[in-house]
Amino acid sequence: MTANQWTYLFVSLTFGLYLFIGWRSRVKDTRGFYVAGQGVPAIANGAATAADWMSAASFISMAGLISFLGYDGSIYLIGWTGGYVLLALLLAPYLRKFGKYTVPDFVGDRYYSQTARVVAAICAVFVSMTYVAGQMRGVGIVFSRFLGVEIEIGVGIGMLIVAFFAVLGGMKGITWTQVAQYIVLIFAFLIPSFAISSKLTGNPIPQISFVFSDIVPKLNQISVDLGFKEYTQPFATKGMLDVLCITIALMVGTAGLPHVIVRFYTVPSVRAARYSAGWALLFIALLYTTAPALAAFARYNLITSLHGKPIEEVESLEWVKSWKQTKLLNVVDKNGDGIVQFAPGTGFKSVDGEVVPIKENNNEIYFDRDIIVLSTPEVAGLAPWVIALVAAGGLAAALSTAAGLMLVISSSCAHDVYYRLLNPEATEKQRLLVGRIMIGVAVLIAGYFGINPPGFVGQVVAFAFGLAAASFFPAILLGIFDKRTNREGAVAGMAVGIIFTGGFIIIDKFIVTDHQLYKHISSEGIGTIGMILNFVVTLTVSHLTPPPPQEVQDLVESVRHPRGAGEASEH
Amino acid sequence: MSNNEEQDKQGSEEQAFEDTGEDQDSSGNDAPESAEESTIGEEPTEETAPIERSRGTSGSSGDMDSYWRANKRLILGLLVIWATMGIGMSILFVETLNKFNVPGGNLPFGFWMAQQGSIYGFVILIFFYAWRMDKIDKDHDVHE
Repeated sequence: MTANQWTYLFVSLTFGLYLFIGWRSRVKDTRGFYVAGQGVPAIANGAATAADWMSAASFISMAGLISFLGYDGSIYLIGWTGGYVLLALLLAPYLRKFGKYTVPDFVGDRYYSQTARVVAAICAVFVSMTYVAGQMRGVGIVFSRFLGVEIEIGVGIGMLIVAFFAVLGGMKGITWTQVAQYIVLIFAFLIPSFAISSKLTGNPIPQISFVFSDIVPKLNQISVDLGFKEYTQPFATKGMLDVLCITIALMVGTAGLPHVIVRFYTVPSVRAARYSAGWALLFIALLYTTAPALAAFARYNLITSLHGKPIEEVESLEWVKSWKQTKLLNVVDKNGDGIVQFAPGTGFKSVDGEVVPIKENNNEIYFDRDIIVLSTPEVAGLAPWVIALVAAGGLAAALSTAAGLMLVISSSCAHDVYYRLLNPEATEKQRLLVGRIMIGVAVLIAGYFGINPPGFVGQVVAFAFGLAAASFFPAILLGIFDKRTNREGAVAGMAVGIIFTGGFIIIDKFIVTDHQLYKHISSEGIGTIGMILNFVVTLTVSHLTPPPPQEVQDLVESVRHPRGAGEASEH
Repeated sequence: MSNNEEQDKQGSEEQAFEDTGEDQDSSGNDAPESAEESTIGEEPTEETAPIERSRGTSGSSGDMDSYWRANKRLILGLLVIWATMGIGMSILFVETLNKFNVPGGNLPFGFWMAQQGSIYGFVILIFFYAWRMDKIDKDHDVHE
């Protein structure tokens, strides 16, 4: 069978599985719809959280990014895993004890304020929207790259699948499909990584061969010889302060992202929430400790198979031929000496979708960062079914994240705004119906953005983490750990955090064109400063205004103790 | 900062755990009774569960305070380790630590901490927290 036929087979099989699970997990009440009936075992929730969290970007782009950035790529590795420690120690167990359905629920109840509830709901929708557009686009790209299907049709198929299990099964359907999607995506990532590790070092376990083989020292040597900095050299592209701020913003943002937090509402107990965070990070770590090894190996392999080789030999390689067609790879003998040379600097530019060589620079190899993961099976000479597995894995990563985000969008509109604010008298049936309709609407909007991506999608991802770090994290943390924090403090703190962070990013990204608003900290890291401001303002204002009412202090007291988490959801 | 100082830092955290340990022992609630209850508490649902348990059948507010203090102390200790690994060793002092390789390996130590080592540490921290809290919950009779 060809790679194409394998891909059709794997994609159909996995999609069939997701539909089957979706049908089996259909729900009849809002508790099932929003928090999967709070009956998800810790380890299953861990797998679901891992799939929820690892998006198309984690699966396809992250190893490639690290490959380009070397040490500086660690911001993603530490940032996107370190946040789980904050989540497990500071937020998840208490939010599970609180036991309601959404993050705005907690903010609204703890700060006895409908304004705070609505601000939190708007933030949750905004953060999730900036994220979801990229996922649907990812689905379309995987379809077009591996199956030659139009992006629009690919996005359409993805929408139908997500809509089916999300509308029918809500959180319950999403959870159990995410467990299946985790299994698909982790095998799809690990098998090619094991193969390339084995091929280059003779040791199949990338976590071990990364440390004990001589690939990284060799890569350092080649990099220096070619005029790059050493691969392991810290702060080659970003200053220390910037690396620090970005890492903290990603950590705190991760802990504050509503679609991650809400997963911990679905487990049966506080104890399960704690262990579940451990399982989630363990499952994430399987991919996140493989990615840096894959990044270094793939970079080494690409350079050594292309640099210094005769151009005819390079152009006759099968994988070079096929990836050249996708325009993610280009090799041009600019100086006409018949030999391919790799060198620092921008050697190519994109003109109308074509990759065109720039004469002034002597780099003769162009490769897109996404190629690192996607091309590994071919470069390592693996069987066609592995290529198909990578396609299925990319789709699993994108669909699972999209589904989790859509649930947050739906619950923010249907639960926080419609039920808690507009129509508190709504019956269970009405609430469930509105929930289903909103998730359908969210799928349509996500699909629209997938087909017509706003030009700024790549640039607004900083918003998601920056805003989550500067708004939710301090409000929830102080809501649990400081009884004195009151409505006035929290609302003022969130407002300052959002306005400062959002304002900085907008000015830095769209008004100051060269991204030099403040040269020591970039937009990606400014959420850290926003978070600190939020803490300072919240604490100061809280202590200048009256303490929260007794029933709110009782609420805080009750979330601090695990006992009774089963009944806390009865409301 | 040197390697030694890093180790000193970790040393003082270990102390923090030992403190928590003592704290639990001194608060000494009877575990056997609560062990029976835990089987009920683990059931995820439902209307049948006795309502009064939602406030906790457990002891005085003084006991609650000591539970919360033990929890906070554990969290603080673990967060210091978290910051030492994820921020101190991986970012602030990475250049110093890069002068050494991972023992027996070919990777600069700081680089390894930033790309793999911290992640292993984070996983262990979370499971350690969950495991310790099981004991602290039981000792203060607030477990589910």
